[in-house]
Amino acid sequence: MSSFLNLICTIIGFALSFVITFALVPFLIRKFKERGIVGVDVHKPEKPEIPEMGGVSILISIIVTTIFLTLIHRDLMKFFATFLIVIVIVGIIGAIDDIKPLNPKLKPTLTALASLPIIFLGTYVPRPVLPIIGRTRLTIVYPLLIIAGLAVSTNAVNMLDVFNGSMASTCSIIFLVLLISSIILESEIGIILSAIMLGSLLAFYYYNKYPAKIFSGDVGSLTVGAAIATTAIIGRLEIITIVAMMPHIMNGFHSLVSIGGLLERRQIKIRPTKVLDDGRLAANEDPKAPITLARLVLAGGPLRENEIVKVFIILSAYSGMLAIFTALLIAWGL
Amino acid sequence: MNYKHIFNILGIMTIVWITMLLGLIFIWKFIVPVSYPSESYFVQFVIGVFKVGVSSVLALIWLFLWNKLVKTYFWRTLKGRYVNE
Repeated sequence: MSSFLNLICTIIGFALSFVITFALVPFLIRKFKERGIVGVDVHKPEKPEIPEMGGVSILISIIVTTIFLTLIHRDLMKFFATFLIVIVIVGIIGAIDDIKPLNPKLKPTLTALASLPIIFLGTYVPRPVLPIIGRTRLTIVYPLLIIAGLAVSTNAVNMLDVFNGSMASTCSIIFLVLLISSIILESEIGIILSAIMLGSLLAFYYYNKYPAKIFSGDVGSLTVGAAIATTAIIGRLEIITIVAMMPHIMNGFHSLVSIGGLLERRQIKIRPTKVLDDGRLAANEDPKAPITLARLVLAGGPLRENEIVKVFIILSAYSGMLAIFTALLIAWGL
Repeated sequence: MNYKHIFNILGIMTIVWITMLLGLIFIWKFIVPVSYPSESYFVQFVIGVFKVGVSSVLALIWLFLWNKLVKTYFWRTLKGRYVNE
C-alpha cells in the first residue's frame, strides 16, 4: 500500500509541478514585461532586456504540489511541512534580493538561518551514511552541517545561474540523480521531493533555455538550491548530493578562493568572461578575475553561450554518474 | 568545441571523486578505530571531537588540493593557448 502510494505521489508530484510551472511562466513573462521587472542579458551583443524573477513560478508550483501531496500522504506530513517552510523562507529571501540586492554577507547568513526549521522539527537523522565508512554518528556536529549546507547549496546554485538555462538544466540533472539514488537507497521522501523539483525545473527550462524568454532571478536559484539541500538532508542523500553538485561547488568554491571572500556578483569589477565581437564568450586573462566554472571552460577557447551551457550539462551529467556510483557503493555496503 | 579540454576537466572531477573515496578509506582505517578504554562520558566526548576534528582537517586538505589542481590546470591551459596563438 505504502509503495503504491509513494508511486502515485511521485507521478502526481512530477506532473502537477510541471503543469503549474509550464502554465504560469507565459503569464509571468507578460506581467513582468508590463511592470518593467526585467534584467539585461549581458552575454549577448545586443543586450536584450528579459523578464526576471521567473523563479516565482518554481516557488508557486512547489508550494501547491507539496500542499496537495501532504493531503494525500499524511505519513510524510512532517517532512513535507519542513520542506515547504524552508523553501518559502528562502524564496522570500530570494525575492527580496531581486528587488533590493542584499549585502553579500547577509544573504548566506539569512539562507543559513532558513535551515533552522529542519533542526527544530527534527526531520533529520544525524547519522549520515557514507560509502566505505557506512553509518556515522554526528549528533553534535550534524546540526551545524545542516546550517552550513543550506547556505552553501543555495549560494552555489545562485552563482551558477549566469547563462541561459544553466541553472535549470544542471539542477534538473541533480534532481534526476537524487531521484535515482533515492530509489537505490529506498528513500521515499527523497523520491517524491526529487520528482516535484524535476517536474518544475524541466518546465522552467523550456522557457529559460537559450535564447531565454525569462530569467529565474534569485527567487528561483536560491529556492532550487534550498530544495537540493533540504532533499539531501531529510532524504539522507548528503554525500550523493555533494558529488552531484561538483560543478556547482567548483564554480562557487574556486571563484570565492580566487577573489578572496564573499562578494555580490554585481560587486566583482573584473568579470571572469568577456563577450567578443562575434558574440562568442572568452576567458578574461586578467589574473584578478575570479576562476569561475565558465572561465575554466573558456580557458580551452572561446565558445557561444549555448555551447558553454552544453559543457555545463556534460559536467553535471558526469558528476551525476559519479553520484549514482556513490549511491551504489552505499547500497552494496562498500 | 575543445573536447580534449572538456575531458581534462572531467579528469579533474574524477581525481576529486577518487581522492574523496581514498580519504574515506583513510578515515575508516585509521581514525574510526581510535578508542580509549574508559567509560567516562567526557573521555568519549573528547575522542569524538578528536575524530571529527581530524576528519575535518582531512576534508580541508582535500579542498585545498582540489583548488590547487584547478588553478594550476587553468593557468597552464590559458597561457598555453596564448603561446600557441
